[in-house]
Amino acid sequence: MVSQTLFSDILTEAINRNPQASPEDILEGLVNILETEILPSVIRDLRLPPFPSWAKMAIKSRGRKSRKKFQPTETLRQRRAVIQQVEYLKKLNWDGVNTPTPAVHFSDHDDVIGLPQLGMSFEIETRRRRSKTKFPIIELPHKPYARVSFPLERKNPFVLSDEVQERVVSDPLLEGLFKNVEISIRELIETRGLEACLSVSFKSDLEIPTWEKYVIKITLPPRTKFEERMKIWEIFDLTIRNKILELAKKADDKTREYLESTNKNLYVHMEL
Amino acid sequence: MKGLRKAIKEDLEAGIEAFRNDSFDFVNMIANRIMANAVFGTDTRIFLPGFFLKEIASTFGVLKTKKEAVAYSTAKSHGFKYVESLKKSLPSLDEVKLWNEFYALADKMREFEMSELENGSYSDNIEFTKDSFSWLLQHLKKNMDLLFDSNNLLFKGTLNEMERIFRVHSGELPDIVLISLIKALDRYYEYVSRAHRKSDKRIDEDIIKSKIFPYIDRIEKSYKRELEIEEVDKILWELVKSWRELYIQYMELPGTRLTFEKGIELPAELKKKLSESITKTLEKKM
Repeated sequence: MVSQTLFSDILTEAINRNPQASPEDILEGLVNILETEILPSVIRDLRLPPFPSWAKMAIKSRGRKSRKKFQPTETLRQRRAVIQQVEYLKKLNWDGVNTPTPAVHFSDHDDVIGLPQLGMSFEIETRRRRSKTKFPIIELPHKPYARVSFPLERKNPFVLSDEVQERVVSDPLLEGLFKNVEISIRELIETRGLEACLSVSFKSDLEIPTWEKYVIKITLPPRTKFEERMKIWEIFDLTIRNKILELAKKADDKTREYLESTNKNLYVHMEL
Repeated sequence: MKGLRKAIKEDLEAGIEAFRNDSFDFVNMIANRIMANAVFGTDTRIFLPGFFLKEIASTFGVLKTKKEAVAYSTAKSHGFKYVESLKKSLPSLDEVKLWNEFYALADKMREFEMSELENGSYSDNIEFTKDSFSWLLQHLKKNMDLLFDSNNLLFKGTLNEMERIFRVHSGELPDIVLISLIKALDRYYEYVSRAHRKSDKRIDEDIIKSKIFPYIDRIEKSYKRELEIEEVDKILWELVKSWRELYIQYMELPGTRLTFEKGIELPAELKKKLSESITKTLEKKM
């Protein structure tokens, strides 16, 4: 059983971290987290008991009979089945979704007028409307689509300014650089559970045309302490530089020169 | 119709802002709105920016929800440039240019959509794409009768294969045109099949034969390069127009669709505690 305290902590955190979410959003969100994140990790970490043999089952069954706490063989059969099923899921290395690429179908709606708000309430209202249409609600025997979780108001942790975006589109080398750096940063944020946002901007000086630099600004929650900020800044700086060096190692001379020069003109900045 | 261009221009402006803010469900809604607005007028090409915008919303919506780390913002740079170009396309609506730009973006997005493993293993194989698409089209034609069965997912299954093949092996403009046409046909078919479902759950065969089958033949012709782009757009317009008209009659279809579930954020530590607590309970029960 999940303790009352833990359950209450989860609810409080869910409400605090998702202030715009309605109670329905919170409920659906928790169910979604349970299905897609918690259960796969439970199945992965679950230590299974030894698989009960038929002989043991018979002994147990007899023993229980004699103590008048009769546990029918059927229950033990079910236990074997459950263990087998969990073992099967462990082998599948199930990650909570059915396919690696979620198939998504956006709705046909062209308006939200008359619907209280976007999100779950929108869905609830739509369902109510559906009941008035002549279409029966039909559950398909096979559901072709994986369920997709769309984080509520989650900020994009890596943002390029308009000017950087324009440069990325017109410069394949710069695109390659930012593509790789972005993946490394996102992996870092995800694996360490960091609440950081990085924004990339471009600065130049009209009077000195050769002076151009890219600034990656790290924003952390205000509660982050100075020492922690310094540590996080160091980790990001190191990750970015290492990625660029790694790319330079594999690159041809011209690309290497470009990467090294961009690396020199790239600043990782954080308000302390 | 007076004012239609102005309305669609403003729709596109709203779409660009929604795209900038990563609100892809809103971008999708705006795209639907553009196509719905186009129905009120007589210009048979003005829906095109809406059609392409809907595809972009879907592409970036999926990219944003991917579990593995992807270069989403770098990809978005290309998407943003494209969405802005849709607005600029309005005065002339050059169909060839619109399709070529859409194809270029779809081709570009492949490198962001592919997983790291796929990116490292596959190279372009246009011939394979062409042959497999032709096979899939023939398979679709051979199994058209399945479209009478209300449980069939023939169009979706075909699209699933085509999109996977294009993503991994690349393709040419006609391949993207084919995917787009089947998508539009599927949207239309979903409404037709629901509207004409009989009590035994079969779909009215005559209706499907008269409303859907001819499009499959025309789409095949288009893939065989027998049609000009204007003719392709004519098919697309008919499908989009019929789909939006049916939306007016039936609104959103229930049941088979996937909608984004709104997720919530929870600290990793709490998730771990919850996971441990459930694991312990289960271990005790076993």
